[in-house]
Amino acid sequence: MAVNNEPMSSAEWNPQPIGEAFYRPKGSFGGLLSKEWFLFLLFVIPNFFFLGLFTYWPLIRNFILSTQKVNPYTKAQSFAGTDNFTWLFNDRVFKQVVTNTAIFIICCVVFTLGLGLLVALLLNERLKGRTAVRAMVFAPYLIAGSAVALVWAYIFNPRFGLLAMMLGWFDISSPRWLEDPDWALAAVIITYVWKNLGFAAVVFLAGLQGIPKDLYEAAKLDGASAWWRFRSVTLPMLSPISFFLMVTSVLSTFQAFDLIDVMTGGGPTYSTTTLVYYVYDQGWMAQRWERAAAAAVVLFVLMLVVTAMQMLWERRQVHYDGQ
Amino acid sequence: MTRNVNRRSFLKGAAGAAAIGAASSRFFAPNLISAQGSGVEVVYWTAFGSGTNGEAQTKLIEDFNALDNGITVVSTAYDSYESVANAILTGLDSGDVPHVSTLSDVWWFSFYLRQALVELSPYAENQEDYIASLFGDYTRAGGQWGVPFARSTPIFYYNVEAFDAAGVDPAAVGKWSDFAEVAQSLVDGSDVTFSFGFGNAASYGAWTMHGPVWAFGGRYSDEDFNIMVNQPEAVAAGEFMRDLLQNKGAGAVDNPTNEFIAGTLAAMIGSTGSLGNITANGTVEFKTAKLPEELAFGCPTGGTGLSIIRGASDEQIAATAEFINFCTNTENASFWSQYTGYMPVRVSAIESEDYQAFLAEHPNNQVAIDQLPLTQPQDSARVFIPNGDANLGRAWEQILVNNTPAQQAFDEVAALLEEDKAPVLEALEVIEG
Repeated sequence: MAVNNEPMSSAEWNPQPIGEAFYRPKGSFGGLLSKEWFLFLLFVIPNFFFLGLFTYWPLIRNFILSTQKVNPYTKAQSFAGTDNFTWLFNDRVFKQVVTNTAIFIICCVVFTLGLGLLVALLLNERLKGRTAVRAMVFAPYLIAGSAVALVWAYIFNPRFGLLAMMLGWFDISSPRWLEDPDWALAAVIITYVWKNLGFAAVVFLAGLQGIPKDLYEAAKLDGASAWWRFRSVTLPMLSPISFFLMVTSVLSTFQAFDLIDVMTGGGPTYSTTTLVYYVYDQGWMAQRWERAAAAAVVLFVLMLVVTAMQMLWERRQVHYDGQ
Repeated sequence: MTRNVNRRSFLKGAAGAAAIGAASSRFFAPNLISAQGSGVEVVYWTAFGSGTNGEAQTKLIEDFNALDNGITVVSTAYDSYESVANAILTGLDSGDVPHVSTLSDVWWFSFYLRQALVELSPYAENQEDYIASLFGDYTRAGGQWGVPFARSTPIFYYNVEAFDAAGVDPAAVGKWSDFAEVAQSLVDGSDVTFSFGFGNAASYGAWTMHGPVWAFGGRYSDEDFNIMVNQPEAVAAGEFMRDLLQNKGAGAVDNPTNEFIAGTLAAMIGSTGSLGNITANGTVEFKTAKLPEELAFGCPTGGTGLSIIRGASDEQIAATAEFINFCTNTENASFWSQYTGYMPVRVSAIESEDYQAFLAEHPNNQVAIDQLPLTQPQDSARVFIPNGDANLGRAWEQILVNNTPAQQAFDEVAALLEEDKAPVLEALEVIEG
């Protein structure tokens, strides 16, 4: 086929709009409103409507509820100002709950991401059967949390559980995992990390496989050791993935509920009650909806602050596209 | 203006989407039992979906649907009393509630206060045949707000092999102080880990300890909601149990029934409703006995009844009442009790030849029947104050797990109960005057 490489003259240059509806004479504001803006609003308004209805309206309602005194039976409601928050911050249990939440989140995120990266580094090597191992590592993430919790509750049983049996081989007595307030939170954290490790590993693995090999080769030529290559190439190049995993992990650990509900019910003696479980306990069990709402506001603010801090950290530490 | 989606914006967007989507949810795994039929459909939410109790529940529903009387029961099973109640609470505002549901001893009153229950006097058949104390539990302001169905009492379970090995005569353990004397020898002289297993708050620890509190002369509260849990008698019960745990080989375990089945406990207090499960799955020979006494005998009732939730048409209410009457008729009350271990809720069921023959073969169930006339309705602090059960259970956890002095733990829970009873009293004022 002959190709015409002749330059086009300005007289011939007459681009046609894609459809008449998009035609807008320059400077015509009315045309913009009637055409592009109409389409824009058409697409955006339904989303804003549902987002407002199902996300922001409940948030606002929850905040209003947190300032009320409510009788759950008669539905009588009166303004209580900050009473519910004052009650919460004076409550011994609430302080313990906030501490539990902080420990739970820090441990879960650090161990899930740390071990996930280690597993990803292993799976990134050319080892026999690594595809099968990848599937096995990822499988727990797909299992329902309540099922995982039931199985681990048996594993942790200090008298006839699997862990007790294994520790028995070395003549070590098992901790009373779910019965001892000093161990119960650790048991839930171990279960959470086991369940979510696979997801972090697979995402890290995808990140590792996206790092250009020539960066490693250049580092090797410069005489960098394996540790320095990991520190100076792998970690910076993985920083966007790490950031993504950190944000999603922190948010999901804030909301972890199923494992706690099935394994410990928040006990013993509130030792595994986190903020989200406390909201459930105050709302559904104690039927103090206003206190549950106040705790939910605290939870929301904490999540917002933590996410904002992560975003600030991202500006300084996260390197995109090798920058 | 156009904006390209690059890796940075994608990752930021994904993180943001996760933040926006952050919403907690309660996961239920309802087990749907439905049957073909025509006419009126009765929606039934039950706490019995698995194990021995679940099998018995399924049979009752299938038998009813097989009557082909124009009423079809569609059942959803939840994993606990709390799950059922939570689901109904959620549905009350939206109208997504069943026609009939199991409502446990600690939950039915909450729905009564919400005026969400149908008064059953016009519908319940042979009312005088129900065990009076169990039927009376649902009587309030002259109305009947439920009928007994899966009703239980705590009983004393003991591991026969452990008692034999330790040379302890179970008949000599009639009092708590008797048990305390032999408790350590049960651990030393047998293979069990603990002489006695205490449950946690989630295992209804406040219910299993209710009898001992009464036995020591104490109460959680009186019927007028005066909180009494921190008075000396109840504190004495708490201190006695603390000593049993600290010095007499008892232990606080996650699930006493599972531990007993596995043979790690010499004794425990458990529900009669666990009899079927323990008999079916137990690895050790066991027997039951009345709860030990101390200053007096004390044993509460417990378990769940059936209530009709308000909102249905008259036709549906009548159909639902037929199902309730079917579940609690003489034949089925006997079947349910034999299969599960829960109490037979009708006098005629206990007296039936079928049930008497069963008792002759199963002396463990006979103990529960013998104990039944001695039982009492529970203190209002546990069953009528929202979360009273869990809060009292946590106080027991403080004593038994954290070794907190009973006075301190009960003082703390008393303050909480005082606070939480206020909305209940306000609502009662509105409803009953």
